[in-house]
Amino acid sequence: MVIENLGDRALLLRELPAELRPWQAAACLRAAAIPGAIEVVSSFATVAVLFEEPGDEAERQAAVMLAIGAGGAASHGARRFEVPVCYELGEDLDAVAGELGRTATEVIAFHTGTEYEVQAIGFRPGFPYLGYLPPELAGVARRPSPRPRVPAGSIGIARDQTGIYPEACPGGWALIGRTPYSIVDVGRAWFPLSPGDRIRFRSIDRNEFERLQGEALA
Amino acid sequence: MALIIRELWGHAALQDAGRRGRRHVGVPESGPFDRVAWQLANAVVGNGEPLAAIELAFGEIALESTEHHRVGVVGAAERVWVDDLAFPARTALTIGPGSTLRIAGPAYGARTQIAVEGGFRGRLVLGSVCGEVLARGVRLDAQRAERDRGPMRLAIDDDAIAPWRDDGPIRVVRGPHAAEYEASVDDATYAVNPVSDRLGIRLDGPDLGRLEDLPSFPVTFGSIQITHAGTPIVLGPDGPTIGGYPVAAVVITADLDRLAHLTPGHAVRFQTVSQGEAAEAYRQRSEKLERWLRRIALAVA
Repeated sequence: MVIENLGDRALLLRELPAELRPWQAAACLRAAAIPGAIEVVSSFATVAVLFEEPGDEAERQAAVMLAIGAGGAASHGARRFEVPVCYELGEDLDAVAGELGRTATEVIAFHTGTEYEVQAIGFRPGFPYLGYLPPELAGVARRPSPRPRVPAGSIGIARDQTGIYPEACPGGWALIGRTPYSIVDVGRAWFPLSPGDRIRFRSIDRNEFERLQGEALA
Repeated sequence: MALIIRELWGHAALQDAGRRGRRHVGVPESGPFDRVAWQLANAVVGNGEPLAAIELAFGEIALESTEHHRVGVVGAAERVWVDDLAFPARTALTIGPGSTLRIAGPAYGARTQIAVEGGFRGRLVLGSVCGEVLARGVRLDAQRAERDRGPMRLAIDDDAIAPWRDDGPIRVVRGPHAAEYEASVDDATYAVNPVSDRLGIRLDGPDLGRLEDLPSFPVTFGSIQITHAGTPIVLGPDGPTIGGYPVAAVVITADLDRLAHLTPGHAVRFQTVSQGEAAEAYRQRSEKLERWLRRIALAVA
């Protein structure tokens, strides 16, 4: 494991022990309640511990080592979710199928045939980066310039990842479908997804999309 | 009991202490870009804890008062007017019913914090009003000033706690990817690109080189990302929580407030310091700020 300074009041951990996923390492670090730490953020292969103020570097590194070594506390309860997707509403579905040399039906089958891990939350409040796409769907490039407005609930793919746009915003991923579910409510501080959670997509038609519109992810 | 925005050029939004502890769900802290000015502006109006204030960027604002309000103006602006009377800025003033407080565009620096006794009220999102954008015609409820007091001027003579004035190099520590670049951000003078805001300040300058994108990793306010063009973006208080550009350097905590005052075209230099120096700079600045806040609290009491 490598611990580096990310500025004068954060530590960045990489090359984590093989048995620890970043979200598990984050759970260990939160459980350790390191003095002065205000937040732990995990991403794809890294975790950061953010502190209130600059402080003793050696002391903090030792506390982080100890927390990771203690390991066992990583019992963060990862959850499983099923997310319905109306693929007909994916503006780029046909273009993506064309680019991959597949039919739209095959793209849907591959996309729904895999269980994904929430690897990181970021870019926008509550945006889950999900990985990894099956090899058959991997390699679709981001758009040369982002769309000014991607509708809420859009399911995007880019390279080897897929994601869900929680709210309407600009976005550069290829859009292959849309979920009627709400996956974030910033106003109510509702962020149901955490790194480590697992998601499977289920194909639905337009009628079901209309019926489920606005329901909360559960 | 309110202040009504009669005129506004530039950008103004409410800022309070911000949204702490939500970066793991993709929400940055936000809060005032220049926290020193925000703390001082709150202190001069007698707010024991700093409360929601208006952050005015690059502009001019006119606020009409419906009642007696005690207002504190600290930051880049040099002068304020109450109706036709001019006062030097970095001051607390009481404005009466029907009077208009006008704060002019700064000669130097970019942002000014406008606090009011009792704090401005706004719409809470995740427990904070941060980022509530203001416009002409908006009525900002505020508490009435308890007693009429004369102006109180802040004569801050120390650059260490006057981020709007300090023009020296911005101090940084080496970032996680510093070693992968042949050059350092210390080597050049950069110019602030006009496409800069609270998300990030883009800098124009020589090409530092291009590294491969990385799987996104956590980044912070002050992280200096190197884009594909080889030029830096210094992340601001509303910046992303994770990112895939390499981070060559990170601005030290003691100098973060100064980023609020980088105006387009402004020349920027960086100076790399050690972790120990960064911690010491923070300690010294905090001590000075605390001393000033205590002095102000005594004067206001």
